[in-house]
Amino acid sequence: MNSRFLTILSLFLATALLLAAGPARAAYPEKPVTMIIAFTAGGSSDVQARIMEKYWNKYVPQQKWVFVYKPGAGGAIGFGEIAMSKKDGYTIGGINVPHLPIQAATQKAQFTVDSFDYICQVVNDPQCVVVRKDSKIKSAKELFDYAKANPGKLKVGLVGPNSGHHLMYLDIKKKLGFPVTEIFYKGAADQNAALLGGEIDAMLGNLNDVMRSLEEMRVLSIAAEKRNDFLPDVPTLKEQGFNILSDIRRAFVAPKGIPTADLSFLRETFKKICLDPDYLSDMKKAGQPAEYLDGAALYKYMQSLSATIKEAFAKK
Amino acid sequence: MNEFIFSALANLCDPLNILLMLGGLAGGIIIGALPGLTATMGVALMVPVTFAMDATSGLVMLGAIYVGAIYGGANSACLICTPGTPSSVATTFDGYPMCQAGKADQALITSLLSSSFGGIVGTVFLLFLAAPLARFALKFGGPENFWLCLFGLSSIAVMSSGNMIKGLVSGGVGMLVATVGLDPHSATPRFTFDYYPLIQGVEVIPAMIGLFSISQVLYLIGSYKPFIAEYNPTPGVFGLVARELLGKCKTILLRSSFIGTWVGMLPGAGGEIASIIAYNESKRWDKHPERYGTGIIEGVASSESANNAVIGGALIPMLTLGIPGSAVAAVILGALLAKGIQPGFKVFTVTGDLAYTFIFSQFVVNLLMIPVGLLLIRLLVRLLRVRLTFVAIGIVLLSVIGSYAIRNSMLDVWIALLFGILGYFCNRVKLDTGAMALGIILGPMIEENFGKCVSLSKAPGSSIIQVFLDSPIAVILILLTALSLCTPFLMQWRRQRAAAEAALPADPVLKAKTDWLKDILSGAFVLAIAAVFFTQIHELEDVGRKYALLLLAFIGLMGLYLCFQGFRLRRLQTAGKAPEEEPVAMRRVAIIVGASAAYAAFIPILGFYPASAFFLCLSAIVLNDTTTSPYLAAALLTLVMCLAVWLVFSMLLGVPTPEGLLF
Repeated sequence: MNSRFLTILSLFLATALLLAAGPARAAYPEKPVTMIIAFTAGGSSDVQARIMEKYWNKYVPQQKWVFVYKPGAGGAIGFGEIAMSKKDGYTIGGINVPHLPIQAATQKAQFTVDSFDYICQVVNDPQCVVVRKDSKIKSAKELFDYAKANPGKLKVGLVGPNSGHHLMYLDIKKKLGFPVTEIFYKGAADQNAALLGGEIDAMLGNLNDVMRSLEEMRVLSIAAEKRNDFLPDVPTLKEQGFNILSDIRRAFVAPKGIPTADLSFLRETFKKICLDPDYLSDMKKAGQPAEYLDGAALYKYMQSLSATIKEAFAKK
Repeated sequence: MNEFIFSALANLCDPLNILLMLGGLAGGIIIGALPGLTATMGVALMVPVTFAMDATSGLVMLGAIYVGAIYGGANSACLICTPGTPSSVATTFDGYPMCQAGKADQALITSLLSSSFGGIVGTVFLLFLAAPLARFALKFGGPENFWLCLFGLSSIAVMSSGNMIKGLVSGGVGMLVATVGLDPHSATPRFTFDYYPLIQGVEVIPAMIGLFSISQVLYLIGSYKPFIAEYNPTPGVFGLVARELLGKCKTILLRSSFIGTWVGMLPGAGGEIASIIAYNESKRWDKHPERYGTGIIEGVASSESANNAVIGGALIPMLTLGIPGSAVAAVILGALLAKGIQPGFKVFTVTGDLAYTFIFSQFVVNLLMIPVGLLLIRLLVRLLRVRLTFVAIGIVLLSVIGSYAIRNSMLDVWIALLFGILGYFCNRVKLDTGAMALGIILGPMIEENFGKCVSLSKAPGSSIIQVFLDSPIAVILILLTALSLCTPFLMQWRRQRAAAEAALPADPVLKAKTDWLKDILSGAFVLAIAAVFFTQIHELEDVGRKYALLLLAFIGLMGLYLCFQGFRLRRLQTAGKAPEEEPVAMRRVAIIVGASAAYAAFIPILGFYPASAFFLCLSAIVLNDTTTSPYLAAALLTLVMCLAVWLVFSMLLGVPTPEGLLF
């Protein structure tokens, strides 16, 4: 009798203990996580996120990602969707920089850089200065000199307006003086075609996009801190004495105000993924220039970039 | 090339690849046939699947889906006058009249064989002439593309001959509607009417779903017909159609396929333009152009061979230069890059095994499509045996999920419904929805390329005229556009001469009693649209403002003219032998409009499947037009449709359906 009572009591206590510890122990994530992609399925952002997913499943095998595509208005629709989603840690999404801060600054967007909790940066795709393979211009310096000697004569293609390319162009103009005729294209494909077809003489383009038509192009210089593994022979603008840095970055964020524990779990897991050598080799194969930056540092970068953008586009 | 032929053929004999081709084709045809699911989406949805395959198999499968989907669009175009993909708009012009004349099987088999023919021609170009053609495609810059789009737009004049003013103003309204969203020159929102989500603009596909599918639903529901069309299977139809195509349609097939390949090569322009240009060229060079639109196989053959030839064309710059020639090619390029394959002329040497396997697979796929297509056609014509009311209700369901799935946005569902009502109204007052769709497709491209030309003209020593006229290609396109604009007058002149020779009185114009009212209504309608947009014009600046003002002025003038013409007709009108109007059950039309709107409104609350079940069941009961009890049929329709949609969309394709608060 006594022993039976004890057994029941201990069972009861154990259950109570389990129940009490339950919420703490059955830790996040206990259901699938929604991943919002602000561009179309099969696009560059999607491809990158799918690679991330492969390694998320390796480190967090119990819960999957559910992909939701919310394309439109250059990402602004999807970014807004992330910012306004439930702050329970079960909706995260991919963002592109500087698209997001530019939209926040120049459109009546539904978000600012402060609408998000930053998980981490995964890609840094530097901008390149590119001409056609048969061009007489052989270096960035020659390009800038030629532009100054023949104002307006050089036709330069940009994707935009109000894009990362546009921002870099305004930066070059401010620092070096760059009197050229600017032509805006809807996307990298149109821009590449225009350069190859001779409609423009030079263009500013992302490494990832330039790589597609590398056979026909000469990459003069790259606007990064250091040379890139994909194009080790291409010098940086800094090396040649031009203080121009410009890139397109991809990062993952959650809506601002998710539980702190969930955010640190996400940050730790994403860090593990980003340092995984298999992940890095997959990224390289897909032509995605990987660069990890932790959430806090990314937030700091976003704030300073936001200030730069407001200044650059206000003056325009 | 020779060293790769055998390995490529060996790759294709791999049972896995054959299975992927068959599966891709069948899946593609179904995706294409469903209104709302486009080729782009079908291919994009399957990209993640290819990550688990080797590059060759993945590419072969995506190529098969592409071919199947572009062909598949013809089936719904012929059977229910709803282009399954934007590429098959022109197929409805003759395909649907054929179906109504009881020749559905002939229309479907014509589409199938022409698609296969066009696909093979496009692939031949891809195989033998990829390098020079890619170089040629690069010559199309801003000015050339601008003139190409205007040439496409000028086809409105041919399309709606006899009713040119209404055709032109419809095109203008389409172009105006397409300006909603982000201004391409300043990247600021315009015509959003202070409703932020409109910043994403009016996407082509939901607008087309509305203009074609939903307006067709309203028409069908309002007609007093029990079935969409009579269907009398023709014995030996396959041989009959094949003989006709090889006989009198040789030139048409070849010309349309060339046009398709050429338009496909150009970045930006795809099947939706190629098929319309090809259709109009066939009409223009025909001895009896007035037959077009009445249901002749030449019309179906031109459109369908052109849109499948686009595939080979679009792959040329994608493989050789890394520049996709169509939206689908862009998705396939993404899949290639994800596999670490570099496009470029070297693709035929360094990765020749892959490139040639892919190209040869396109030949095989286009041939395999004939048996696979024939099998599916047998199933699809059964649709004509289903009562019209049920078909119409089913199309609403597919239109809703299709327009939602494009961007996972309920706004697009509302856009589709709105355009459905607009399209129905336009059809009633004889405004041209085809021209409107063309305006929505071409408007943004015209504006974008116009902006490029303005920028180019800012270079020193350059002027806007010089930019527009500098290249020989531009001059040729201008001449073609001028010729195209003259065509309706030429056709009229020819008709009058023929009438004079036959000593008949020149064209007795029979005007229906209500024609004057239609003119006034359409005039008032376009004036109202222009007025609504005009309230927002103060927000615009620069090129965007000029472009919008130009469109508004054009629409305003045409609207006034239509009103004026209406009043004049009213005075001239004589009582007498006016042709009778088709009777319309307005009450039923109102019910289906109300039910569809309630359906869309309840989706965010109830969730997609419960809302759909309610909608299907209730509308089937209320709209029942037989004497028997509707309950069993309604339950059956609900069950079958929900199950089919769940299987195809949720299980097979993984298309997300809208979530509700409750489910």
